[in-house]
Amino acid sequence: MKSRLAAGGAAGAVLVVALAAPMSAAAAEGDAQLSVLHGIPGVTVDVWVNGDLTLDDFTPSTLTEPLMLAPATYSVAITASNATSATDQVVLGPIDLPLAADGNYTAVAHLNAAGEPAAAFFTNDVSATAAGEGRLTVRHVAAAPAVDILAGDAPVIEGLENPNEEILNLPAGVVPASVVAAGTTEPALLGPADVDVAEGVNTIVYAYGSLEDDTLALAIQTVDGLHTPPAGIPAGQTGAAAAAETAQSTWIGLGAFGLLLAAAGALFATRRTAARR
Amino acid sequence: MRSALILVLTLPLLAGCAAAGAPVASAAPDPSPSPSASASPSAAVPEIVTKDASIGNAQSAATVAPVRLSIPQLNIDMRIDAMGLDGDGAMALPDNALDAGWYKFGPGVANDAGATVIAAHVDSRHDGIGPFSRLKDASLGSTISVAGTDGSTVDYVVTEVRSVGKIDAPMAEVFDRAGDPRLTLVTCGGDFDSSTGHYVDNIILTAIPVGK
Repeated sequence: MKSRLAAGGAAGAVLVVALAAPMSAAAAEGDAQLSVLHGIPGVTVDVWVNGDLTLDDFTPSTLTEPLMLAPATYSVAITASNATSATDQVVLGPIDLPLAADGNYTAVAHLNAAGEPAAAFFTNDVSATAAGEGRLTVRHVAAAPAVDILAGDAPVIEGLENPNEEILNLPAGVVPASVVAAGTTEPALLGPADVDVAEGVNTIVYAYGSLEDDTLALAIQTVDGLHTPPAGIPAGQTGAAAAAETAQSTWIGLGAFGLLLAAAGALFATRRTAARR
Repeated sequence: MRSALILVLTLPLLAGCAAAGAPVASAAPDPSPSPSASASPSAAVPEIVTKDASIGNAQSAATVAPVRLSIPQLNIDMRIDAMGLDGDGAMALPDNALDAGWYKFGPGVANDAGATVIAAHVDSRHDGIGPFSRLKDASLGSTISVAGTDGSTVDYVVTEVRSVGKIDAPMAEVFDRAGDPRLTLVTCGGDFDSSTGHYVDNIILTAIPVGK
């Protein structure tokens, strides 16, 4: 890895990723959201969008907050961090990122299976999750062969290859996740690591880096606000509270004599309640 | 890595050269007519918030679960259990009407936004009529205190008490996770439909943190 990076640096080529450009000061209706993740170990890059420097000295394992962008196709180039323009010392691109209205995307600068810099463009699943559930998205963007993902000891995703993703909807909770070579259960290439699959959140896990260079690592992105509320709040079982209410108003209507009855009734009700306990 | 660092360090030098009259490349604002999309030609690199995405970093701030609810005006002092969903996809509640349930998937105590939802049976097969039967009598401006597992206490004032038919009950609003932080207390009310075994209304009380 050191040798590859050094070579890249010497040639003036460095890294990756995609980003956002004509950024309006305020989000507008229909804006797309684009996040950018740097998943190439050991190198710092600049990201240019439509020819403008958008991310300066972007470092590995860094994720941007979502950029709110008017729907359009954006041209993204990734250059060495000392490049003077989008066409100077280009590492990747320019590539076109078509952003649809209200779309939610992540562009990832990463290594392909062969260990070369590449850019991946993912559409994040922001459909509603069922009440009580979260979504786990796993993306293989590492220089490594196909992998399986284990939750505890059981494979939940099998044969995932760079640069693909797999999506699971799960009961909310912490998943003890490991990454292993496809078809095996050990040794773990990554993890086990506790991944909090929170309710109503798409938790996106990236396996990036290089197996050969021993730089495999996990990065996490979350997209929240996908929750569905409970179907209702059934908060009564017997009708006793309504009955007591009705009885009370009836007695009040009967006036002074009713008050006496009410007192007696309350006593009775109290005894009944006590007896029920 | 080392080579990348060196590249970064040399950047200012290169930029300086360009400014001195090198024919092409200029790192900063492009002097040529900017594309219509970029309105401010003098703008430098836009502020983009970034964070370390390493898995070791906490994914989100821990939610503080509420454990005790107190409403002095109604003589209510209840334990709160963390609850999820029942088999029908509705919010689950403690069996006892004497205990309240907090919807654990939503905001907790001292949340930055959204509704902290706490509900209890108005009556139960286990222990009869519960304290939340008095919820409908809460006065606007009454104080509610909620204690969290971390020992903190947040005080709220009642701003609204309403009765809503369950068919129309706005669950998305009750369980809203956005907007101003607030406390939402829910129980049942209205008539009891013995054919279904359910009350026809939900009593929904809203309170906001004191000082907000």
